[in-house]
Amino acid sequence: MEKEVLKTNFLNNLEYILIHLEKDIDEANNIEDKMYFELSKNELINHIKDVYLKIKKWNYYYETKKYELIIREYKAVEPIISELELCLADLENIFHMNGISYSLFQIGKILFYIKEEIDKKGR
Amino acid sequence: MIKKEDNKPIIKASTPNSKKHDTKIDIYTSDSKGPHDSIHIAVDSDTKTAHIIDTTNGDTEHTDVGCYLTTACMRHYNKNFDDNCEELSTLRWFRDKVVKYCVETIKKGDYDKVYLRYKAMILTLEDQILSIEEENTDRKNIVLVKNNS
Repeated sequence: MEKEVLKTNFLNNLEYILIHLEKDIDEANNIEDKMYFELSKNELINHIKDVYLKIKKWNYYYETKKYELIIREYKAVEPIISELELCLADLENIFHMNGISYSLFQIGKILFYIKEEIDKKGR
Repeated sequence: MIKKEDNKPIIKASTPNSKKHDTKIDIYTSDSKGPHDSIHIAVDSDTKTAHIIDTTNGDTEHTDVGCYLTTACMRHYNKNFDDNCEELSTLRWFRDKVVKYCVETIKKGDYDKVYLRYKAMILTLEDQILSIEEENTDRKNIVLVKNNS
């Protein structure tokens, strides 16, 4: 895949995730204090804030070619987003976790290509 | 049943940060950034049970199932369901030979082994699916390739 296409796809997906996670932090503060499948309201808020703060740095990491750092954080963030998607399935219209999760999955595929290129170059 | 509309349905799998479920399969009717319906199947591979969240009928429906593969096939085939149908046999093989192997190897911490297995499997599946799509875009079945471990 072309380097510029990879970059555009990466940044588009990243932008989608960040815009929605930022809104989700506010939304999570306003929801009823109860269990949402496996997570409490406070756990939801903490998870959303945690992944938002991590993912926010990925634009800088990508521009400075710190791909290994993104890959490491991706492995930590992906299971949390996956759980949030499960727990917030009833509130998809508010939180858009399906879209966030799918965008993250697209980023994962881009990271896979990048890692393959790095491995080929033996760096 | 997921309807195939203008966009193609999307299927993905992930490992949620959950105490109970170690695998999650997500099915979206179309690109999940836009209007779509979804089915989430959260699986506990130790007990072979699952929790299904289905939004394809308008509301969000939660179902706990003992054998998620049988339930999925029963829902699809209704009265014509056969416990020994090809789809169910293939999915059971995939669960017992591929998914179980990966989960057990991850538990042992042998990540490289799982990564190589997963990579080989996904690339083979991708080749199969791409060639199917090129031949006939309306074909609904996904061919699972039986790799020997």
